[in-house]
Amino acid sequence: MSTIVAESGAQLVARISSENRPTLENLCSDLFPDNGPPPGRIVEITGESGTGKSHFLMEIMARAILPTEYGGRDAHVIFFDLDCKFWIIRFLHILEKIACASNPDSDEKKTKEVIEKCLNGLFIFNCFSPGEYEGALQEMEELLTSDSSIALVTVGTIGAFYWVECTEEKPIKMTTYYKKALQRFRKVSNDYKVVFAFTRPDIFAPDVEKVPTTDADSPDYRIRLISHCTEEARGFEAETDARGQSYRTLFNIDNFGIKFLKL
Amino acid sequence: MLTKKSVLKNREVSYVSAYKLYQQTIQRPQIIPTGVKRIDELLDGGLQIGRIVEICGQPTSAKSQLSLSIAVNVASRKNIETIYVDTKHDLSGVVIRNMLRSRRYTENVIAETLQKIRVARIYSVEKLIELFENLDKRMTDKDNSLVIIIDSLPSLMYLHHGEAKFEGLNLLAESVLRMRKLVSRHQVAILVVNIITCGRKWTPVEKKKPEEMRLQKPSLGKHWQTVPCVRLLSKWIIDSHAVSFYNFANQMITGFEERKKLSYTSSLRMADKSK
Repeated sequence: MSTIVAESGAQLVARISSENRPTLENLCSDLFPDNGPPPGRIVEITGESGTGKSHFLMEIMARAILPTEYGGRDAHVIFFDLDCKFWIIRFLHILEKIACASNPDSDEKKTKEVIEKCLNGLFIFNCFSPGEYEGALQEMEELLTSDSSIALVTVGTIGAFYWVECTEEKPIKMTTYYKKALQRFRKVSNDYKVVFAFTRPDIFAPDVEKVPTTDADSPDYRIRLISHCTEEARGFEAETDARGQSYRTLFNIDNFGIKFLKL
Repeated sequence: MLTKKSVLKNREVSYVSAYKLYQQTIQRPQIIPTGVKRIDELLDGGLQIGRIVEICGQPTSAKSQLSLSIAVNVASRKNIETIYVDTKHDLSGVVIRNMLRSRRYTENVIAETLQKIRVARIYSVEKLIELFENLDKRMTDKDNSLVIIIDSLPSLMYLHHGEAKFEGLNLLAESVLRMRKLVSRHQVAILVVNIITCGRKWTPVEKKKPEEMRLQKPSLGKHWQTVPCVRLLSKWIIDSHAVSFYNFANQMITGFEERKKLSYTSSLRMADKSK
């Protein structure tokens, strides 16, 4: 059976440049219990402030950029740091934790070299206005075409510019704003076969959670982080909804990022 | 109007690799101790370059005291500048001088430290945005590290209460973007003083705290809630002449049993208020 699919020149270039991208499948069974995420999927991380959304994002990025023998995927990553929550020192600690756990035989000097080297594969855009963000998104497409090692694009956080864009003269609903952003991510992830991951504070566009993850207007993974901290003990929970399948994991956060608890 | 052409033409942002960021980071100190030992413990060492820290609490819970102490401590260190943004017109040079005198500094050192604390009297958000903009333009890589203390942000925002729906929020969001730009492009750390208002809906991260805590939420609205990287809650402990500080991120708490320890000689003004 053959069907003729028409594609534009840009899509052709995107498809050809994306044929050899590394995959993020089986990234980490604690982060993605369903052995995902396959190329082209969108991951949303949500929760109250202080539940570890930015840490989760850093954890995913760290596992993508490390070499395979150090617990990673040897991929390149584009990161839009819109809320200044990315902290390079903490990120290095996370890389170190993963590298040491996956390759305990490697000596300290070698591990340090590996970590420093893989930092070259993380491209960070710092944007401070909607205009700069727009420019960066366009540059992202150029980057995706020229670098076929990029397998992951991350955004922290999705609503960062909402309150400068929603004005008295031009009001826009949070849900509409969210949908537009998501449609754009969807197009890029489909064209270039990359995974998109972003954070969303639960107070931003809370209505979108009613849309099931099987819907095209919705992310494929919705990871909801919940805090169970009390005065005596700290503990967090991650509820993953992957296209209707749900999973639960427990974790803690320390100076080395996320620490999953075995049940 | 954003068009594809205008965006491409004015494109000044480009990416940096994390390696470059790492190289820049290790060249310069990243942590500025506040000089108040227990607060440093709460903050994992002190104020961090590139991050925004908030102190929130009810009136007279020693927020301004703490920020003033930090300003003085930071200013008496070498190679660090301080800008104290005074939005309430209640900063007094005499108080700072007395704080320094109580530490038995020589008059020379006192004069030097006083000179290093630059005070910006700002009474509108627009002016605050202007300040951030000017700093961003003027600062270079060779400049000293800079600590900006804003005491306090909500007093600027209350000017926009009851105005057209979005205007205040737009201004706040704009100033947040400027703050972020400043801290991530330069060697800057920001400390913002905020107040606590009572509300029923907001619940802090740990839900099993006493009832009173559940009823309090930081002022400035939902958007602001997600802005600071670290939020400290200061609390006045009634009858015991003590103040406690609580870090929402690592759930650490510290208490100052006697006000003097925190605020040195300038606790006089606070004692008057509490009577």
